[in-house]
Amino acid sequence: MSKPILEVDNLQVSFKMSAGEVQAVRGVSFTLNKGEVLAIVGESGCGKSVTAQTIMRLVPTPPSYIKNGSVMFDGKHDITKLSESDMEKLRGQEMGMIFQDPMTSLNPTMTIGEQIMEGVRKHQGSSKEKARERAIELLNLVGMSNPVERLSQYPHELSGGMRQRVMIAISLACNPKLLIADEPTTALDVTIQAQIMDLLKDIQEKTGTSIILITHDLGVVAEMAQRVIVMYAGKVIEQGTLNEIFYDPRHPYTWGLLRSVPRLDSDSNSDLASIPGTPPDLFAPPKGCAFAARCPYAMKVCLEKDPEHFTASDTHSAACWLQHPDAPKVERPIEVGVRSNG
Amino acid sequence: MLTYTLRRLLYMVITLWIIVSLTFFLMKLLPGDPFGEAITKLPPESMQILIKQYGLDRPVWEQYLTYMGHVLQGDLGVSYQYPTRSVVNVIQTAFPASFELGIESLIIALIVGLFLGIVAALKHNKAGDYTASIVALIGISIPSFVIGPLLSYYIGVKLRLLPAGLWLGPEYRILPALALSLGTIAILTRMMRASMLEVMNQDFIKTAKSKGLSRKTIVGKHMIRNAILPVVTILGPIAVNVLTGTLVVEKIFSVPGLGNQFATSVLSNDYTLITGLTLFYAGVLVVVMFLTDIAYNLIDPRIRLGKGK
Repeated sequence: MSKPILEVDNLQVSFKMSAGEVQAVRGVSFTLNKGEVLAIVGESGCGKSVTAQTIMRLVPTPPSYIKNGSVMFDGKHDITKLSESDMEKLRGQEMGMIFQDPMTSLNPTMTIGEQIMEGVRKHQGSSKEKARERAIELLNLVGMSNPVERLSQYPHELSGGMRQRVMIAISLACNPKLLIADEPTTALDVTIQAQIMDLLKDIQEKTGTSIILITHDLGVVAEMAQRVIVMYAGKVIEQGTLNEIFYDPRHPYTWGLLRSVPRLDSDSNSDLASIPGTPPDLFAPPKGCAFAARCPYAMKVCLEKDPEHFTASDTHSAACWLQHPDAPKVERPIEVGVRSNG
Repeated sequence: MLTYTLRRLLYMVITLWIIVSLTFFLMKLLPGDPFGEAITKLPPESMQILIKQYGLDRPVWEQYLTYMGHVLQGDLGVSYQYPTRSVVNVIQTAFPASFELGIESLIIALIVGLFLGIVAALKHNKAGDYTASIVALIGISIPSFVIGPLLSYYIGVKLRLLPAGLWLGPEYRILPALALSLGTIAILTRMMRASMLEVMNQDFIKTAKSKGLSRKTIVGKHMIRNAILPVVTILGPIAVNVLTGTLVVEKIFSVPGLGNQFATSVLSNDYTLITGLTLFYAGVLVVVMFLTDIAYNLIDPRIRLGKGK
């Protein structure tokens, strides 16, 4: 495989609040290869959005600050150390972002055209006519009908799905090497979700851009991602290829996540499984494993010591003491890790 | 757009009609009459002649109809205080000074107020924010009858930098315009600051940043235009307030404006001048509000009226 487009190493991001420090991201490491789609999954507040926005340095500082770690982009820029003006050159040009809520992510007082052309003109210094051509091309790419007409429309004249298409067009304006999609379908209704995911997949195939897909929807993950990172309480607790995570998950939290997805083949009378409890307070993260308090398999060591990553294969690792050679063998819940027979 | 404008015009006329009628009848309920103390010294025959001349002997409804008839022809009647001048003439001579003073103070207030508001928001919780907030606090808590004399005395009399009063050359405009604008500056600063802070946290600002735009572009193109919307709404009433003259500032700096006229007209029961001025004020108000709505339309595409209507 060619050299990675993104190498995140031991990234720690904290928010300074009047009540103390919130450790939103507590040592996250992963790599993203060129042309790869990597999914980051986890529940709300697990630090996945902060991680993604830190890659583009979009988290407002203060209150947030990068406490430790590095983010190497394209093998040459360490994002954590770049000046703001250097960041401006990377943002939009080399990396683009799609946000969660298309209803609020577009400027209500500017036309769609202006909003797409803005980045093109800034980064490529192109003339108005050229930027306009590019905008039309982009709107075609994201599957909007009558692109010429759309240019002069305002966001409120478009539906949510259409707006998300515009957002995607904006993020793709300068052919970025990296696209970060922060829950791109969460705010859309189900039929539109599928359309947007198809579009992203299609674009990925056409442009070969690397994508980080942040979501808590495992269905979305299965559809698109090649590799998956599971985050919990600001840490990566398991990572692996799509098949490894879906069919051979190692961490009890991943089991819980997978069990909480409704399945066609499950007994329709049974309740959907949930993970009891709430994530820990990141003002004062626990000493041991952050998931221990909610974990049905927690052992004494889990409360005392944070587990390291135990590798299951070259691509698969999980931060759980159950993976330790001396740990008792536990039975994985039956619904998880079984390929359904059709 | 045309039907909208026509409908608005109709409403404006109806509003004005209601205001004139209300003022007309309420005024008739006031104790006393326009001729005041002097009347008692007049022989009763002369008084009869006066009352007849002004039509005050006829029933109120008849007076009303006659008055309305005249108003429709653009004649607001003759002032009781200045029997040689028509109300229209009084407005024509006094309004320009008030209008000029108002425009000047409005421009000062807009520039300073919006600037301070934007700075305060961008430097949220830093020195710039505190400075702007203090200016705003001072502006709101010190009334113009305090700041006016202070400016007049210290800058006009003590330091002799600018004229302390009167309304002659351009340099005479500065102090009254400053005194009048202070309150407006304060309101605009606070509004703009709050509005900017809200816009800064909007998602689309993050989108703009993710496009790699510079901070200058983000503030200029994305923040200010959105933040100014709520400010435009309150601009209408503010503009009318400062345009139609303010009694206090005009008195302090001896500006021959409308505010002065209004006060004396009420004190002397000058029926025609009171209704005339009220009608004029109301007229300015509805026109400015209409202009504000149009401005709002231009800035905010969401409320822009359907095309081709």
